[in-house]
Amino acid sequence: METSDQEVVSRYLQGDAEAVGTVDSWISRAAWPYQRRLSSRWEDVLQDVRLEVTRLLGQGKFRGESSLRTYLWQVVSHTCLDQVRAQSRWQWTDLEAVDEGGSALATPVSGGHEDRDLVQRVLERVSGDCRQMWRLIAMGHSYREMSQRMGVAEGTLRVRVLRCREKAVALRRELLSVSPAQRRNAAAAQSPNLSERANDDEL
Amino acid sequence: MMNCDLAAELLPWLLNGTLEAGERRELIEHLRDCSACRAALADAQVAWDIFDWHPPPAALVAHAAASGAVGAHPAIGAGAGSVPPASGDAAPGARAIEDHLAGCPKCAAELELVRTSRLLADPAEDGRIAILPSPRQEPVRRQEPAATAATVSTPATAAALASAAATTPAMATAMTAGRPATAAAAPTWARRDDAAARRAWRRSALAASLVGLLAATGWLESARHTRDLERRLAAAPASAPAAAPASAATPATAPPGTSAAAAPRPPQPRSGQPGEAELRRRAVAAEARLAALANQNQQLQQQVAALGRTAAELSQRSDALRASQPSPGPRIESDLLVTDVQPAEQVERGAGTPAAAAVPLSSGAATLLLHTRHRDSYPGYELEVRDARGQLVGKPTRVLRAPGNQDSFEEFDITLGRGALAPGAYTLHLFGRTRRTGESATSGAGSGAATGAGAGKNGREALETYSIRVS
Repeated sequence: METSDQEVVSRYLQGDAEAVGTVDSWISRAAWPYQRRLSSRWEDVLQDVRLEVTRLLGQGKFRGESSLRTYLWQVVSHTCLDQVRAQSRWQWTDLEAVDEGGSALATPVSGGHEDRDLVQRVLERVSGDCRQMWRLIAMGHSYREMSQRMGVAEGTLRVRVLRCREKAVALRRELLSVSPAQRRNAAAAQSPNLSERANDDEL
Repeated sequence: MMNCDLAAELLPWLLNGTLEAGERRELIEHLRDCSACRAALADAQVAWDIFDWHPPPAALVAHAAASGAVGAHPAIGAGAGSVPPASGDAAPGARAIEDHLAGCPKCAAELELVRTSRLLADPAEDGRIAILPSPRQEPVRRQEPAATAATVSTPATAAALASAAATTPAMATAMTAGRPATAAAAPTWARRDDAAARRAWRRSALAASLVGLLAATGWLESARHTRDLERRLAAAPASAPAAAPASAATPATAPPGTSAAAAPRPPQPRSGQPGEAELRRRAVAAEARLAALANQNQQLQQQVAALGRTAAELSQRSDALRASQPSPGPRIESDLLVTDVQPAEQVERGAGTPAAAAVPLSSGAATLLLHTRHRDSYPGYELEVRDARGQLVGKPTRVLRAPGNQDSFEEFDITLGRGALAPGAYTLHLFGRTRRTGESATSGAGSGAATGAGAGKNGREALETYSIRVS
């Protein structure tokens, strides 16, 4: 870590106006590309970033493995991407009328770290057509639009999607029967997973 | 009634909300009554979460940093603050992310945002990338409550947050990269300017719309007029044969052997346009009018020439008269001031001796009308001007007698120029010469006009004496 970065962090935590202005300008500049996507929430997200930066720097999370400006860019990117995805997340409001029995409807399955590994394992085993069809569904296409786009009959398309769903669920149940440690070892041996742990130590 | 097979097939599109209203209603009614299909709905949600999986933000950030290091964005990694590989599995994870990005435009767009953000965060790009100002200028109002509501542990951190809140991000992003950040807070006028700019933009848009509307209306009217003219032009040849019999005299003048149809037909006058005969008649009338005007002009020129000759003749006569006059004595000028001067001995009924006439010569010339009661005529007249001491001051050479009015019978006109006499009292003595200049005293003794009692030895007779006061 450069000495100047440590000085900036120290002065920032002491409330020095110049250091605060410098850090804030770096944050604003890094967050500028997300302004259009976040629209009116951009200022609120920017404030969340400032609070998060203050919290992380105050807790000494910044260890100087990269420059302070790069560290701030990572914090800004994580926070802004989370907010962008939160905006585009599906809201299954129609299921409230169906979920009378208090079942686990509308509950996301990929909430934890191990579930992400599980999902990756499932996706690696399904076909590309399955991923493509379900991706179109997630993008909001109707089955009529998908049948025209893919050039198949509507009934055929619906059955294919059903088969893909059944296979993915079956794979998930199969993998869930294996312990998490075994799944991770198998994943590391067969197909290295994504590096979402990249900056978890710092963030 | 929907069966379970169809319900199971439609579940994914129930989740994405693209089912038609009837299908969705039937499916929901079926799900309420069918526990197996509700379990299938739960499986569909599980499958949704599996297939709608995306790399977490940290993975995208790491991928952006790693791809920058291998040259996807040359600026990334080139500066001092380049990102080192975050972990050992970044390169293999990049392959999986690339596979996902190939079929997921949403993640590709997000990665592009991260890369752009990384580019802006690179110190090497500070002097080369400028960020346009934010269209909204309301950060201060929105930040202050958040800053005060922040839960902080130390006063120093609280001060830092307050300062950070006071710093306007919009202004910070408005800066050209590379300039030091300033902690100047955005005043309220920034919002007012923003509102004024929006109002100005709306007015401009409204004006542009009106102009466009007017232009479109004009264009449509012009196009309609053009079509109308084209239609009339197309209809003109069709109406020409119908008008041909009306001009039967023209084919009669065609050379023998040529049919009327083959003979060159003069252009037929259209409705509202003059014919050839009318044009000729107008031309003849215009020529006659032109000839009359030319004749009148010639007469006027002759009159002008005659007047010029008359003026030249009068000028010559005036010069001859001026040359024939003797050397001038006291200047006699015609002027505006005319003063009646009565004889000093005249006694009017109810009136005494008339006072000396006031003659102002300081401001201009004055004409004196010397009235006399003498009706006798003399061959000539003389006038002597004497001052108060009786000394002769002047003697006009030409004293003419003019017909007087009813009261004075006769009068003499004499004009004194400006400053001809010094201010003071003067007496004017009028004499009648009994004989002409150069005539001997004896030859004129017998003339009737010179038989007055007052005839002196100088051949003149004192007629009147006038008193004037020159001022």
